[in-house]
Amino acid sequence: MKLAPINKNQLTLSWLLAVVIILIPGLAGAHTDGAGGGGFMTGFMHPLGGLDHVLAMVAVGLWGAILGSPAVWILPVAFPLIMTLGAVAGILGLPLPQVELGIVSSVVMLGLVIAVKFRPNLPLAVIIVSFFAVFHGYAHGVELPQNAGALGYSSGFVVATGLLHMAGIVAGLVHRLPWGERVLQGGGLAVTVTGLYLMKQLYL
Amino acid sequence: MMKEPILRRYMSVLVFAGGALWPSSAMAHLRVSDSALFSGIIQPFTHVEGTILLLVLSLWAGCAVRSRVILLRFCLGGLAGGMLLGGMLAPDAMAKMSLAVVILTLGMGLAVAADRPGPGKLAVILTPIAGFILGGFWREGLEFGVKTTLFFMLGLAVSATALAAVVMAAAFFARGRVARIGVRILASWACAVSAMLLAYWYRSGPY
Repeated sequence: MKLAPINKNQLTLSWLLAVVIILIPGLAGAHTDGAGGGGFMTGFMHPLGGLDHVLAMVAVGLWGAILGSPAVWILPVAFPLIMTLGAVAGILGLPLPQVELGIVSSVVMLGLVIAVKFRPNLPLAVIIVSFFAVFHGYAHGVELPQNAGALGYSSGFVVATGLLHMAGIVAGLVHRLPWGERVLQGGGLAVTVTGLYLMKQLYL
Repeated sequence: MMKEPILRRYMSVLVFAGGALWPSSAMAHLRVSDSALFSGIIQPFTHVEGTILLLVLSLWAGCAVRSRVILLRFCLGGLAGGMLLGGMLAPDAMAKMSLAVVILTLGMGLAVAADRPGPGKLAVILTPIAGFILGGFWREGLEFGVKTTLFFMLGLAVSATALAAVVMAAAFFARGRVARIGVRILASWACAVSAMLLAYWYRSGPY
């Protein structure tokens, strides 16, 4: 039987995937009540547990896909790094005012930039996303449970955030279709409206 | 497009991944005294702090050597040798070892994420040092005799070097744009995790 040839990118991604798979049993396997497993699931579920976090992370991916290269890959690299600064501040107990307002504002603003097809230059896009990333990271850091495994929790929360970005990027690829831009603009509007609703819930 | 030899290598990676998954069903409740060699082999899959450094170190070395395969071989050899030496000779200082692991992960992760891995010769110098720290870190707290420690470290060096070889090769061959982005995103994740660990360390002491 003759096997079909594969290209270099497929090969490299397969290797990276294999490495990730290899690590899974170490994190999620035996003794999950210890420092590894329980912390990982707690951290992994944390960004998925709040609608505001989910919408903001997916919106970052969507916006990156709309902006195209290089923003589509710089944003997912920059976001976890900047978000970590916020998380570090939260873990250390440093004060950051209006965290919840910052988070729901990120939902409103990121939905809005998608809805109005705002296309700034790359540095400005990174600054906008980074500004909101600090609030999201802070919320994750300050809520780090005392009894959670630090490594597991951090890994889970970073991986979940990254996967949400990727989901947004994949969904954002729809903009290449003839009707895709309209769909994305509608999605952005829906995110903004949801953000405004969350803001109303927060203050009224 | 690549032909048969690459496909065979591809299959071997899959076999390696399958093999690595197999101990997950059997590693629970394994006592160190049962088999020092086997305990060494599974150590990188059960003490993930060190494994994250190993992965980031491998990504970094694979990027830093660029197209010079000879440097990659030096890195792998240095890593294995450093780990063996670290396991046998490193001082008993768990907290300092853990801190060194986290700081190295942060630095190397940043270098890869920013696509500034530095010169290949630096990788040749730093991989044995990182290997020494990793060896000491993974052996830490295990009260073995010299002979048992040697078997344990041999098992550890084999599995950790095999894992590092796969990741180094992935980073080395990651010439395509998508693959390079994947490498940088993985490094940024590792970097974020280690920064949080440092903060946690500062707040609560060794995790």
